[in-house]
Amino acid sequence: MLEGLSGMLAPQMVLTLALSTLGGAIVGGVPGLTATMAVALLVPFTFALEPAVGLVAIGGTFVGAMYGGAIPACLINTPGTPSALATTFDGFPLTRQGKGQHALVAAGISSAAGAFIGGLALLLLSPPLAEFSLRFGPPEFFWIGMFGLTMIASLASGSLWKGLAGGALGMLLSTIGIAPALAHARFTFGMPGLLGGLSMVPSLVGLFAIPQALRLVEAHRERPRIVEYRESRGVAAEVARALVLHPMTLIRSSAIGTIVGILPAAGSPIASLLSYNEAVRWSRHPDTFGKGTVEGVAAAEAASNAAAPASMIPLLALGVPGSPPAAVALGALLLHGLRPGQALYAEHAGIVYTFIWSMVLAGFVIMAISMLASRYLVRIAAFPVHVLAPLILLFGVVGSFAIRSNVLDVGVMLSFGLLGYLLDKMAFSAGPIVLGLILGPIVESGLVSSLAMVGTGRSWLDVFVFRPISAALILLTLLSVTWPIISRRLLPSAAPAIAAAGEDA
Amino acid sequence: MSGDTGRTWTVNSDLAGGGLLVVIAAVALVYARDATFNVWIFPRITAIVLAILGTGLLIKGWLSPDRRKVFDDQGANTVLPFAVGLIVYGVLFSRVGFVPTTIVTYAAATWVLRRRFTLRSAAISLVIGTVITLVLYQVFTRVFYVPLPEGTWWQGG
Repeated sequence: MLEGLSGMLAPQMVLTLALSTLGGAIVGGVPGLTATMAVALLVPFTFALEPAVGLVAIGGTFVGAMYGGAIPACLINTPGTPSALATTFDGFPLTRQGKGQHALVAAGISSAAGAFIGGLALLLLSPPLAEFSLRFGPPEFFWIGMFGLTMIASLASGSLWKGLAGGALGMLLSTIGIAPALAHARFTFGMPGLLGGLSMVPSLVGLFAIPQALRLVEAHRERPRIVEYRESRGVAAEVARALVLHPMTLIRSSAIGTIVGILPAAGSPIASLLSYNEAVRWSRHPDTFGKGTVEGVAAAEAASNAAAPASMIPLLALGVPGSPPAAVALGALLLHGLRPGQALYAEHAGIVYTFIWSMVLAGFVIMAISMLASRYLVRIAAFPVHVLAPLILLFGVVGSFAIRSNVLDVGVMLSFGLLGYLLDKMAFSAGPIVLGLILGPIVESGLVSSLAMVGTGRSWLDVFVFRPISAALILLTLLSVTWPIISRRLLPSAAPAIAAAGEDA
Repeated sequence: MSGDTGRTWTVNSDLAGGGLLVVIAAVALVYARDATFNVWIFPRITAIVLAILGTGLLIKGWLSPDRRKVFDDQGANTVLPFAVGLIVYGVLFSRVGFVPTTIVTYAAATWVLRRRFTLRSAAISLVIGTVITLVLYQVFTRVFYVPLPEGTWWQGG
């Protein structure tokens, strides 16, 4: 653990973290561009870097983009990323009162607190969970895959049915290539390039980056109006004092963000809305929420930034991504030959702890950015689309080509990009498809190995159900499928917003 | 997909999405009729689940249509050429070379999106495309060590 911290404090790492966090904040600050897209575009270029440097860049970009989403949320009432939706509730009213700087500093401080607490949870919880995963057999891996898939289907999409369908489509696509059992070719249609299966990173870049760029192109006539923004002295100290004097908001929100982030696929958008809802419930002045209170901005931002590192816990420990950006981070790990699970901590402890510390420390970079660079970041929302959209597409093409210098990967990326754009028009979100692609091999290998266990004389029920961890995972799977109904009953005020925010982070 | 006044294109998202999923599932099931149990069990189950979910969407789309705007005329006029240009770029950039293809594509994209179809605007777009391409070429090749395709342009062909 300390080896990772000392590795993280090397000058090269500190510089990488600072630049990537700033870069993430810039991308997150452009309305319509998500943290997932920022990480997806970056992943291919980390291939040439040392694994630790590449992963630090990914961690910084992810956390930075989470904060960046708050900038247009506060200043132009447009969330830069879906996770910043709840930030608009009080951030924009503060700006309309001439307190835009208050909103941005509150977002910065609470983002830092959230990232720090979520990062500490990642640091402390993922190693024991990875150790625990050694008790998992094939049926448990089958069920954890099913649980992850139903979670994202129910939470990351407005429609459970379409979410499940997207997950099934992703799983079917994951079977392209050589079958794990008996090495038969499946769905290759005579193309040797498909024998190795669909390349993970080009698929992710296509699904997450290309549809966003095409949406920007489609809406390029709509230009946001940038507000008048002035800075005054003493605001940072004033906001910091207000938040420190009422620390429960930050602590509770970071805790909610951490717990929600750990749940496979729940992610930052859900965390920030639930946290905002709880902040209103627990506040002594609930009537001030929605009218411009620093507490409201803090509740949303602390939770969304705590959920970001926390979503890496199931990824690093079990190989099950906790959010779409974590799914992309999995692509980066695999690109560097790092396989999540207990072996990752046993064999590559230095790299994995450096990555974890980068997410803990990125919070401090965010705080510095919010205090020193807000006046410049304000301009991001007006970045010209005619320069930005072609740039995203260019990075997508070059990044896909860069991994193996293979034109087929560019074809895969473009096909997934256009498919993702069309499916988006039919109200399917990319998250479940990507989760299906990633969890498909886990579920398949769990299923085939479990069926082999059934063949040895044990009953289906003994193999698939009557095992303590499997039974718990089945219950969680059933709970996640019924979550949309439960959430409508438990959180009637937040449910519509959660459904609306159910996009990729 | 239908156009009402020629201005806005809408789609019954459940019907279109369900139809697409059923077609994909049917292709997969036909392809997966090989009898090797362990090889095809998972794709078969997944394709059957996909077919059921797709059929559910078809029924929902038929009973309670959810019509969504897909494009307006202006959006379609920009996105469709952009998507075609992207495919052409993906095909050409390995053959003609990264630098010339990117300069032309970037400049064309910028020019179209700026919506000022004058010679001056074209020149500005060409300058933007050239500068960004050359800067990115240096960054990609020298910082990230990406072996970008040089194509015939670099080989003097």
